[in-house]
Amino acid sequence: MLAPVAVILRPGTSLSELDEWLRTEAGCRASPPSRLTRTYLDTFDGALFRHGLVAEYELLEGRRWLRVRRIDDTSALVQAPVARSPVDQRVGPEVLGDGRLRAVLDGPCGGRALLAMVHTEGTQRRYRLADELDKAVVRVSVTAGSATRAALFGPADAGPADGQPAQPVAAGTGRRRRAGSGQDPSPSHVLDPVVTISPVRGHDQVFNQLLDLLTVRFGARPAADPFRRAAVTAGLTLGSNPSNRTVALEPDQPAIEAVRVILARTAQVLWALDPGLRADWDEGFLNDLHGAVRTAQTVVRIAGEMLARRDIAGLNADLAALLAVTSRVRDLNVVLGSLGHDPVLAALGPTVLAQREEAHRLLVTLLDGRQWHQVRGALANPPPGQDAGKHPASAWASAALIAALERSCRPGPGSLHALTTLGDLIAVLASLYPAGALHRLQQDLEPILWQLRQYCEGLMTAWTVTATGAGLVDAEPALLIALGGHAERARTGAQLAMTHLIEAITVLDGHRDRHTKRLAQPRARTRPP
Amino acid sequence: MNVLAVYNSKGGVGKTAAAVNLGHEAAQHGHRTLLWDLDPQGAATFYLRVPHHLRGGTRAFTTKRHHIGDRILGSDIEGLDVLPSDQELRHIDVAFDAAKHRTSRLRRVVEELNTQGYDLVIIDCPPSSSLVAENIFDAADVLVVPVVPSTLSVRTLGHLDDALATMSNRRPETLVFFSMVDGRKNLHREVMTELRARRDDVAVTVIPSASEVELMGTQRAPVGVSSPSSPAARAYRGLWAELVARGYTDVAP
Repeated sequence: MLAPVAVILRPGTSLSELDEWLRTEAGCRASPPSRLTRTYLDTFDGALFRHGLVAEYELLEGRRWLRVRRIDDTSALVQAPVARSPVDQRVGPEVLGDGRLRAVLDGPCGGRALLAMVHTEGTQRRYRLADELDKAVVRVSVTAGSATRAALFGPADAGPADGQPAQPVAAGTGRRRRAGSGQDPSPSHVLDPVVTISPVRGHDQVFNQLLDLLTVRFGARPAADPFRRAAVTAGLTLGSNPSNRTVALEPDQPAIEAVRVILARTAQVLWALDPGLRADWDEGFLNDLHGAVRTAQTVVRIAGEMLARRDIAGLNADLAALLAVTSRVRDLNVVLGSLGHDPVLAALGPTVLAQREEAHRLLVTLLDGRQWHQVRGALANPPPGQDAGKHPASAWASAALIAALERSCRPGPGSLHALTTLGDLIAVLASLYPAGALHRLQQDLEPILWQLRQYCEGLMTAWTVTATGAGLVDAEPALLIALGGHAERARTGAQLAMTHLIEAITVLDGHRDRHTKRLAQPRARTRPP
Repeated sequence: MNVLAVYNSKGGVGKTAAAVNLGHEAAQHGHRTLLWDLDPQGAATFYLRVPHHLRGGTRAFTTKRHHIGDRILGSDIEGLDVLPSDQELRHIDVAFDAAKHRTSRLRRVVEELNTQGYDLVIIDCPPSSSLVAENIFDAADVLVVPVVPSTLSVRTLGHLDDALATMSNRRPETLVFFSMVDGRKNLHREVMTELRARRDDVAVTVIPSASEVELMGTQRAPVGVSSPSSPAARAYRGLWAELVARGYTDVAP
């Protein structure tokens, strides 16, 4: 069976000309034009797009549809009518009332909410070509309209430019607007009209004839995917991940310059995550913010030898404060996620919200504060006598990676943190190494980290439960019992985690011995001219 | 892919109307649905404006040479396709009897349909309790059984239970619903009360006796299209929702 085909017509073709041709020469019957609104949704870091999927919410003739399809494939993998608009609120796969949608979205989204990315508005006129029984044999729709980018997904470098002081942002009154607020200030961009021809099963021949006629008469040629078209027209960079901290570094550039680039990118990531953190859209914002802060802390720490201690002391303190809060609120989220069905846990809700507010306040303080600018200034003008920053970035990165490997191999409570830091460092510094140099290490690290996270979530929860329980002495006994039960399960999980930690250390020990020499002397990359 | 067979060995109980309207509801909820008209009278095929002709006749179901996917036709409703009926289906029992695996022929066709990308297949069954019925029981996941609340119609339910009890391996689930109900009749009310007390597979939804359903023959469209706000259309919508809620499709409630 043939699939629907979307085409655009020769430039200059008017819709009235096409309408007349379809009705008179092609013999189609037309329905009155309908207003069509489509909103394309994705997780904040574009997970659906990276999996080659599109989620679109459509409002047509009073009916609301949510469908998931593959990019460049007009037929839906799964679609279902939805009772409410998913545009004005965060939509997690768990709140969708349809098991099939959940099944498709759960994997790529990983529990993250869908947010509005691009809105399109316009009209759709539908035609049908019928046989002698008055049954449709081909359906045609002509869509024209405009696209608007959702406010959340502004340019990736929405934060202050490197070296420029940021404007202070009062909590709750930020310059970024909530996605789907209905007051999107982005300008609309006109889209080319698209003709979609849908075959009816058993009548493929008529479909082919009509397509041929359109090609001859109007120079029809395949149209890009509606989502791709709308997104590109609205100026959205597809596949961009606001949390991606990877930067392009040159092996020969001075180490201090590499640190400056990494910190600048980290700052952009932090700014990009700020609106999501403030508006309580998605757990992903918080987790990625936590990761970005941790990377910043690691980079500042290992850059210590290039800068005067007084320059980085303040920033280190700010980062530590923010990291502590994001850790706490993330752990509370784990508790809520694990025991979310227990009604008494509603008591934890306000605590989480308060911690979020605190994290946002600290983030704004950090990025607008004097400490951050002091470090940036120090990186731009290193203090005299600090020669370490003049070394090539490759040498500095190798030393940092080997140090991180060493720390990871020391059994103890800090190993998990060291392993996570090692993973972050590899991701950030990967561009300094020839392709494949770190591949094996990354491959080995990934499952270890995954296994450890699985069990250590339990461990973290146990710590959080203990801390939260201590702060909730006057809370309902039922809450304490629920938390206590979970802590017991978490302790069992923690024993397993330690087993995996020992396995991880054995594997990494092997890496350290084999790769120390190689990491210390990375080859210069060859770049195409 | 789920297979729903609308079955009752008694004729005139509303099987075809239920199959067509459930097919429409399923398509409206985004399921790619195939309505398979196994009744040689071809009423479902007629309702959906599809020619009453199946290329290859009954051989399409008994030999591997005929690809069943080539016989499917689109309907006027987006998302709902039809495997049309044919006069030759009158002899389908004979064809099955002469073939190998005489009681699992339809299951083999269903396996082929599984490759066509449908979420749901609804079979409009002929009023029969012969070999074709055995094939239907073997192929279907759920038997949706319309019952007119009258003595003779309810009696056929007992026959169905007996037939299902003899199946040794795969047994479909059943959902009985009352069809063509006239609430003014004492008999209808009493039969419904009694049957609900005896069985736990009786749907809450009741399809009323309505002229809109009879008018499907002139409109040649499901009541959800011709009279979307009529009580009959609402009832079929409710029946679909109940099927979903009871977990008879892959859709979570």
